[in-house]
Amino acid sequence: MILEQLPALIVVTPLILSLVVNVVGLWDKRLCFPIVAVTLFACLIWAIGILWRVIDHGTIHYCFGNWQPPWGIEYVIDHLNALVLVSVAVVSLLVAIYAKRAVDQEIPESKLPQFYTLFLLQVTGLFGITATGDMFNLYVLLEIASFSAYAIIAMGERGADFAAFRYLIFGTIGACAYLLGVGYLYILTGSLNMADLTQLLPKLFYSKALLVGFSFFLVGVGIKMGIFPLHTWLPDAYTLAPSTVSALLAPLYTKVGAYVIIRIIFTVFDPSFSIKLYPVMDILGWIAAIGIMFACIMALAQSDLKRMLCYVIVAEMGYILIGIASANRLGLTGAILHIVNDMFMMACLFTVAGAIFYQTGTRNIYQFRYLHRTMPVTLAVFVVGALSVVGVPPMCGFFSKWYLILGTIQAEKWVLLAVLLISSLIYAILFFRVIENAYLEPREAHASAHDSGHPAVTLDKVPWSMLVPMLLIAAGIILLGIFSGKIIMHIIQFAVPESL
Amino acid sequence: MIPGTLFYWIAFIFTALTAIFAAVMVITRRNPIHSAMFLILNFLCIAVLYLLLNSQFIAIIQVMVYAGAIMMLVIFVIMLLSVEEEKRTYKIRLSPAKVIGVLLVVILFAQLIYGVAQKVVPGEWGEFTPERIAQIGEIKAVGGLLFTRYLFPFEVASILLLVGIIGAVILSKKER
Amino acid sequence: MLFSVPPMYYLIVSALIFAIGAVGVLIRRNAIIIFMCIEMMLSAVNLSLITASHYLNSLDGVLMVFFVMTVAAAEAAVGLAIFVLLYRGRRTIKVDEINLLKW
Repeated sequence: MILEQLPALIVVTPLILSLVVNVVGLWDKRLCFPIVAVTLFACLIWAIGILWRVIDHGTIHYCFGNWQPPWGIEYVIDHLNALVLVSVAVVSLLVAIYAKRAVDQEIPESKLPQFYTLFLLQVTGLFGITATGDMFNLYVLLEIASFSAYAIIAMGERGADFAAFRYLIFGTIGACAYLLGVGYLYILTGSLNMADLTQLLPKLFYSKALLVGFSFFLVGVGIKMGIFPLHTWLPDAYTLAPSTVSALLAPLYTKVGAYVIIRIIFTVFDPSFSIKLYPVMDILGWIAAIGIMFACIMALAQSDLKRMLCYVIVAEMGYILIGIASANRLGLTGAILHIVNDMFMMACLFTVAGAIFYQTGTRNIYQFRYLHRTMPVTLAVFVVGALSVVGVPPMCGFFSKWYLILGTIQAEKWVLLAVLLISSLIYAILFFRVIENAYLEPREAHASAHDSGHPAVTLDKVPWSMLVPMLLIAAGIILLGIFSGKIIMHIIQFAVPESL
Repeated sequence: MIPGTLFYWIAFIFTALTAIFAAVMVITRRNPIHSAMFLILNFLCIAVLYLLLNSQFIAIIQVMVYAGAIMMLVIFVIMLLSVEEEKRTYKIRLSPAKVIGVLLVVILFAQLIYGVAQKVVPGEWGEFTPERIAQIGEIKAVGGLLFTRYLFPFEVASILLLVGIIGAVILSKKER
Repeated sequence: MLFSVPPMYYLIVSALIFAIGAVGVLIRRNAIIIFMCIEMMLSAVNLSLITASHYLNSLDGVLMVFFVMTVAAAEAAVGLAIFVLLYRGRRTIKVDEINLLKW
């Protein structure tokens, strides 16, 4: 039955089609884009199918080639995976449609097929990371996603090659650390299946070697997801990458890393390991607090829109960490909801930044004058995303932030609560600065505005193929906000471990 | 199969010290070619350690893939780009970031040793004892596992190589 | 009477090489040497996996090392392609002008 094969299909479909794109691209380059779009659409359908099955029947266990674990590789898909899978599928599909025009402008035509191949392989890696139930397999898939990221980031504007190189060094050190963690678990238990480890590890909780392995996991995944002191690769890599690539990577890659960290802390290791046994949560909380404040201040200092958004990502990862560090149901609910919301918010903001760059060739926010006359719809989308990041009610960002705040209150971590509130204020300043520059006319220009010929009001200069995905993402932000109660009730509630 | 214990010890200590010496040389040489040569020495020593650990298959792969293919590529790139030596600097330039970084590495190393020193290996409980491996042959055993239990990672590894190839092509292709 | 080499010693060798590689990444400025240090770190991790595999009598570690080597090979391809790109652009692959550790 096709329904039972869905967990495999979601990885295999983009994988095979990525090969097809490469071959077909040699023959006719115009066919690449439709194939990518159709593939990602199929993946979206598979993902929704998986989510539907998980909601109906509970956790799916899928064994490759019918080899039962611990002998075979098992995919275990519960509510958490399914939710992340669907969000990755939606965002990557919308970004792929958006990508068409920007790619035509930024990527040389001879490299199109290879670019789309790497694009699909990137998404394959992200799907694989989300779906797999094996720690070592996760390492290999993480490297697939990372390698394709290095390659497509290096294609960006001047300086992107150095950024990609730094990313490569940091990413590989992170992968090494993760691999050492895997090695420690393997030495201690002899198994790497997540479900097995859940059973085996509690007996070893007092072993110091396990603590060392755990901290290597945290450092490794921390580098990949760009947590504060380990984020140094992130701003350069995402700023200088081609705008499509940053629109794909910025929302998805770091957030999938956040999923991995939740999986490790709450599924592979029992939550009690990092709550009762060791003060992991306190340390994470402090790191998150310092990181958010640092990233907010750095963001205020930027005049490049994309670089500013990169620091916002670092701060958003801090938010997710705060949810984890609260170590209660409310906080973790907030963290998981924030993973999904943040994918949409970052996709929204980065696609807008890409569209503005596509149309005007600038990312400097002080050169955004009169933009509301030439691209009002784009800016409206930006305002939706910005309000959501700041946390204004009908948008989704408010709801996850609300749960995070409730979580910190319940955990009585007042510093984290203060950081959440202060950073929201800084966000408001941050985004108001952009919106002010784009909407309000400069004072000195006001007098001469009527006779000098500044651009007339048009519907929007950004092409429709970019505008529609952006509008859909903005609609997604509002819909996620409206239906966040339902999402929590039907999905996230089951994704939070019962022992919390 | 494993020669006398004394010989085993001597071989281990000698190879381990050479490997560490080569590693130190890699990070201290100014000429990249010299570093590359010492890195090859390091990889060969690790291959010998693999032999001492009774895994001939990986030892051979180590020589072929690491010392052969990867280092070949590295040396080729160094030669191709004619990377020059670094100028001799008598002062080491210290930046706070570097100091913090090296401190972090020291902490990491201490942590590693701390973890290792717990005598973690819980004992022999797997099914592949040295005798059994010698009986069926290591390559056969590895191959058997590779195409049954590890079939999926095997396929995934092939994607990884694909990513490597396409990444290299896309980056080094001249724009037209 | 001598006992056979305990696994701890292999793991210490592996940890030492890993740490030396990490120090190299931090203190060197030549990009290609940094890259070599990374490869050295990966192979140090491999050594600990093989040690575990040997003392556990299980072949999983061997298989893992097999895959890690694939990763290393793919990384060499992508990494060296980035070098060629870097070098074409500016005729240098020293990293100090980008400063690996800036915020």
